[in-house]
Amino acid sequence: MKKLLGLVPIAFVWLASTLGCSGNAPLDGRPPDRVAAAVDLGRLPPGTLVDFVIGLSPRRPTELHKYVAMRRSGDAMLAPDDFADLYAAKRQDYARVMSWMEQHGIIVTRANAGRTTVSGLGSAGAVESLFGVELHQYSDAGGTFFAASGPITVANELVGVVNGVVGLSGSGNWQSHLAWPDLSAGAVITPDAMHTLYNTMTYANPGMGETVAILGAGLAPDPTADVGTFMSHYKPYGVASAASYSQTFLGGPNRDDVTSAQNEQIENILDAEMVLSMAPLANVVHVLTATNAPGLFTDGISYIVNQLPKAHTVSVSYGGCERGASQEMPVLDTLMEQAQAEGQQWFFASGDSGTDGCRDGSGNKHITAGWPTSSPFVVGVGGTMVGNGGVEIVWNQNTTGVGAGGGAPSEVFPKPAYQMGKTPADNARDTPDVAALAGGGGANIGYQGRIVGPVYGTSVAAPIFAGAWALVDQGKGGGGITDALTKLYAVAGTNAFNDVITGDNGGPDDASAGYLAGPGYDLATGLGTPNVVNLISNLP
Amino acid sequence: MRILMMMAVAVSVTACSSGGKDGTKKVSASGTSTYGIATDGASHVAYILNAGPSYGTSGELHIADAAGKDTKIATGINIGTFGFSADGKGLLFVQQNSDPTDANLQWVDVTNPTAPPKMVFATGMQTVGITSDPKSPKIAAPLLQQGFQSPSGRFYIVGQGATPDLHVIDMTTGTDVFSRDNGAFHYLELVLPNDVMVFQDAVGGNGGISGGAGVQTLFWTDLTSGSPTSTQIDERTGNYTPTGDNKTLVYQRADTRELFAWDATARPATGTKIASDTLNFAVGGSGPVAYVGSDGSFHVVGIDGKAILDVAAATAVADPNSPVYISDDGADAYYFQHVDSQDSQGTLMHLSVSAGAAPSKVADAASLGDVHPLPDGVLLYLANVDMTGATGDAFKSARDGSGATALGTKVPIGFLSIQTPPGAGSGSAMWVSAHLTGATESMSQQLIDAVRNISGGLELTTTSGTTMIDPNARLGQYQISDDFSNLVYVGGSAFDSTVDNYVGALEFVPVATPTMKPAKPLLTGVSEVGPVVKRALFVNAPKASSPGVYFVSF
Repeated sequence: MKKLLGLVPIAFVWLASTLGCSGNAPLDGRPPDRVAAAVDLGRLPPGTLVDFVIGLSPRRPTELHKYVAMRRSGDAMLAPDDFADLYAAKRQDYARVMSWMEQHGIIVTRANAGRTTVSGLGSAGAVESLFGVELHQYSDAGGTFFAASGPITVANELVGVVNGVVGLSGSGNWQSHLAWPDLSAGAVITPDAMHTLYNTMTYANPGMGETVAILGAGLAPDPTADVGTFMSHYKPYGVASAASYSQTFLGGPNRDDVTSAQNEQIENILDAEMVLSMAPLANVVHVLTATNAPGLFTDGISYIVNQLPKAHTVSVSYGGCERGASQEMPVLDTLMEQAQAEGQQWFFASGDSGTDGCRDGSGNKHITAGWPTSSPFVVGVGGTMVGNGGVEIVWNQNTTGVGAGGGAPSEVFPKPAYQMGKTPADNARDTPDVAALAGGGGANIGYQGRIVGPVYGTSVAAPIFAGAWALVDQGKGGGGITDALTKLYAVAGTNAFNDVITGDNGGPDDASAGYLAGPGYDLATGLGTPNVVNLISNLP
Repeated sequence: MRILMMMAVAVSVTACSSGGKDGTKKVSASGTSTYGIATDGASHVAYILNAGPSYGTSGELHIADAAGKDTKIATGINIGTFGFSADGKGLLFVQQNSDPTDANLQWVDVTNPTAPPKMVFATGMQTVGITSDPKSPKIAAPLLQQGFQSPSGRFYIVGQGATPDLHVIDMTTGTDVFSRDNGAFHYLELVLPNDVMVFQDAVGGNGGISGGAGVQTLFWTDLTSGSPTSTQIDERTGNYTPTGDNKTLVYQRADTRELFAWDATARPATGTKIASDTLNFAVGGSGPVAYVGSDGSFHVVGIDGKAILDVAAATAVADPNSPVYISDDGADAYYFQHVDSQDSQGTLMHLSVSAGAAPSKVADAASLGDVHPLPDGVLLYLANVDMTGATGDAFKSARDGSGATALGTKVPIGFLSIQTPPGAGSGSAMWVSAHLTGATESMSQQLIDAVRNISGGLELTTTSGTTMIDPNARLGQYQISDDFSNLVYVGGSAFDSTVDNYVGALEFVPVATPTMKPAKPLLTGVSEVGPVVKRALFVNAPKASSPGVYFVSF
């Protein structure tokens, strides 16, 4: 869990003598970017109070990063003061920054035990004196704002110690681009609906003893305002809060642009809440990489495979298509193979583009599989929705521009042994393997204290199936299920699955009908959706 | 798709010469601003005139020669969307259509620039948002984002259409000489210096669900043959790369992780298997092949598949995400342990390529993309990479990592580039490295030419040592001359908001004696620098006393 560092008493050391009179040095060499295109309205009145925050460079950054990257779930948290002693600015440097601020008439409003930032409040005149810059008022298309008119400088002695100043650049607040209606739990895919469809209503202690990892990128869910809201609203199996939900960050804070990071945050929230819908007592570890670049499938996967072997179930709702991905296939397959051997099973969303995982454009009839869904070492999860009579049918909402469950044969991988005789005789690795609810009414999520939605896609399905798999693993003793794909196909056509026999996954680009669902395996929903109780009893 | 509204026009204009000093001659037409130069060396320059001073702007596309003969080609053209063939006879440019999400591709006969441009594709070229916001206004995507130029400079390999389909355009004639549809451009393509293209495409799988499963297949074709045809090499392939001499192609099967060698000269029906259970690999000048095994082992095999070096997993401990390097002479190989690919770093390990050799550590936190074993027994690399993988410190050592000496600090990751004389190849004993040091990158502002906003001190490293050239330089504003004798750069470079770029003085120093700097700059107010050919180059000088594009000789 993320912890907020509170205001802590600081033992002040007066080190004014260490701050020479050799003047200031520029921090980054040029004025704030927003200033260049704005109209200068003149000097900020000198009495105006200005809040700002000074950032201090970490010490031993490489070691810090290694430490963070090597954290294991369940490791004791590093206390802020321990962090400071190991990795933050030196105590003397921290005191010098505060001394420098106070010499210029700035009030230090907040210091922290981690020695990473100092917050200050002062008059505009004092702040100008501190940073050797004029503060001006400006106007541009975004409104009126104030900012430093030139490069911010710091005392020469603090160059290298101070790594940034927040509050003087005129940058605006982050704005959410979401405009979702508040449907107040009006969606079909509720935890209760999942439990009914997947035969877990009477499951005792769902998820207890299991660790489920989720891999995502960008901004993290808020454990309280997002995940907590969802749990307290839906109370899956009567559980009103997650037993254990933690986050691990790889590569530092988010590095994606704001738009991408916010979309990823919704994805991350959805993933966590769908897993917890099925297995609320599981230890859910959310691994978040700083970017959604290829590092997502290298660092993140490698971390989970190697550092979280206790996670017998992993859910990923990110992916692409096979074309152009063949360079990375051997590496990813190797990691997935290692995971299989460890009894760790990865579930990937099969995509929302029906038979055309590459989204090759309208009107064509290209058949392309999603990647990494087509890896012979992962379970690809397709999509369903609830049809007439409460029976699941293939998820296909192309006519409303939403999407359809991904499913197609691989162009790269031949048919693996476990699919021989179970899937069409196309000499190809067929996808998806299984399915779960993805659309129809959609799913709601807890988001910033509210229940909002709906959300659609196999991004809903993959974490639902992963949550169900955690219950299967729990039911099988909790030791991990090695070579799970062989075992899943061994019970093909049995009551371990709810066979989906209606609908197709055509489009949205493919003008043809797409793959029809039918008895047994099909390229729209795979083996079907899970019957957890029967999977536990049938699975070899 | 709609027909383009902005019609290409061709108006010949002879630019007014500024009567420049120090061998400078203004060659651009009169106008409010010039941006985005592209050249064929030192014969012709293309640039944008009368565009606004911010990324995403558009203006008039002009071509000028070194004598100052200027021709207006088209309007509504974005920076970076045009390029010359290597012989300077043709120019391709992309123009946004009236549908702002669509663009066209046109070709100009540079020998007759007043003739109307030839439409290559009326639709189907990509556009991109000015920002990442999906609602952002669109502009035509840069030419080298939509495709790539063959090493010979004759062909442009491009994806066109929504699928996108694969096309090869002869840039000297504007002719579409080879194409494959059904989304073929999605796969990997490689063009060898002799214009033989190796590429992947699906066989089957294009007839809807009744068409059966497709199989990803590797082909070759000779683009110079007049009517190129496709010949299969193998199927279900992953990565592939040629040897340094381009005589052998080494490719990997994605499904089996086997490595194959294919004779790119004799071009047999299929490759010969040389290794199994491989992950990442690298090839030397004429072989051998070094690779990481899926179990973390490390191996080197000859092009004939004979084992040269095998290091067991327990000893090698190679990371599955490790890139692999091998020196051009095949004597030294490198791989990484503990790879942190998000932050571009890992522990760099060295192996002498001989039976029984044991790995030794070169450095921790070494850049994954900046390992350069050089022919004079030298290794250049970056280590002490920061926690976000932005910069590292440059080091020079013996090939095995011993005797490391520090060069510059805070060198941008991926930009410790090595240059060798033209035609000398990577194995040349003559090499130089011009790179930034103490660099910082602004992620918040896109410069007008879309080059990464990285600035710092400019440093020159040669076999003789390292010299700080200028404390204020910007990425992309320096060039080594074609004769390898001079480093030409923009010195004292500082951001100028009126042109949304870094601007400074055009300077040069001899590579052999880099401390000898001429007293006067060649030109002031310079923001863009073209390649240096026979001691001459085109530059854009938007803040010169007479702003415009200049032809500079020295």
